[in-house]
Amino acid sequence: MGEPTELQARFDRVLAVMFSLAQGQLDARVELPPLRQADPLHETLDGICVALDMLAEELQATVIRKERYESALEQLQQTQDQLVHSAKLAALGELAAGVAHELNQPLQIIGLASEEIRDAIEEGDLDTAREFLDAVEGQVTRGAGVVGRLLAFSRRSEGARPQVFEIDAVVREVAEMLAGQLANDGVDLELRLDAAARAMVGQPDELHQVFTNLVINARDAVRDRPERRIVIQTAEDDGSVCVEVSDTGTGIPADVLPRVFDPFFTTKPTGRGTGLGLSVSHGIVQRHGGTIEAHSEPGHGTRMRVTLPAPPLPESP
Amino acid sequence: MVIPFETTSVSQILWDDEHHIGRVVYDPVDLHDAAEAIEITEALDRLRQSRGLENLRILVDMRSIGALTRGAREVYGGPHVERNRAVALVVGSVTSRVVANFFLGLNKPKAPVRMFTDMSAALTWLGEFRHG
Repeated sequence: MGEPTELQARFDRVLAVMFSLAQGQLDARVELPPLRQADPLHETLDGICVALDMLAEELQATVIRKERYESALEQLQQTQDQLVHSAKLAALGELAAGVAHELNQPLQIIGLASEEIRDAIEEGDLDTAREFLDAVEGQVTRGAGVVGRLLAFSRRSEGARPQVFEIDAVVREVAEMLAGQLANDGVDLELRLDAAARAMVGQPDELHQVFTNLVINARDAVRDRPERRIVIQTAEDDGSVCVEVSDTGTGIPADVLPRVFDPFFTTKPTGRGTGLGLSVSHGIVQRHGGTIEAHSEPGHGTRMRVTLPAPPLPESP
Repeated sequence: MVIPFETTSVSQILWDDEHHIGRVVYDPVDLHDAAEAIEITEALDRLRQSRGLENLRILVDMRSIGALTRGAREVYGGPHVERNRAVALVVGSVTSRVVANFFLGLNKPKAPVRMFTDMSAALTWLGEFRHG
């Protein structure tokens, strides 16, 4: 075998670049000056070299663009997670006052019962002591329940596996958690739950946060109104469930309504709202494949409607 | 009559007074990059202004062209294109056909751009945009 011809050397170079590209070495190029000879074989080979280099350049640019998009998407996801967490902390702060009230009551009862127990023991009346000990136990259970609900609320659910749950149970939990606080503010809360039969799949903790936000917003809207009333209504339709939180508050002006889901938009006084609650709620509902809508009539209240897909679950064997 | 207008580092820019079109004739360069593409688009802009035209019909003779970098394609596919009424790409070699096809397929120019292997067909097609 003699020295390879120029043509053979070029074919070898083309093959080598193709293999390098296939192995992920995207900066591989033929980069040979064209032969510029009139015969079809040389001309075609020139064309192949140019096409391969241009394709490699395009491929490399596409991969770089994809990596940038992925990095931006990851940053966006992190920011969104932080926003969700911030909004959750803000809502948690709102709850603190209510929780303090809820815990204070059992603690007072425990304090009084302890005195009674001490007296009963000194008098040798063990039956009375036992009765008060039962009362103490009951109040401890009540306090633990309050703390447990608070912990469940503050726990981040990211990365959690989807769970099967009933929307009515989530709404009921929210109502129980906020009941004390709403009672303090003189707000009537009415539940009309009618979606118990429909099991759903998703993140109940996240939806818990959505409904908490909606009820807290409703409470703020009715606070200074003569009639302070919030109704949470659930209903199931073909393939979806719907949760409506309506209030008898001041309502939202028509020019403000389109912006209520914008991040950092708030009509609450400085220091009272982060402007993240509805934005984050919107994100959570979207992640569940649902929609959230705001309907309002200034002077007559607001109705927030969350619709979530709830396809029939396969029956257990 | 075809009148020389400017010479860039990789091409001749001409004014075709008979057909009222600009002409770009590439030199036989091996690799044509973004800086050279900017030179050409700026020269075409000056040609357009010197003729008092809002936009230009251009015949690009790329029969001698070698490879074209991605950056050069982006320049040709950029805002400059909007100042062209129509562009005819005249190709000959396999290489020039590859380059033209890449430009048409990946840059998707907004102005009408078409590839020709025949010079007179390209002039006829550009003539359709004379009053458009």
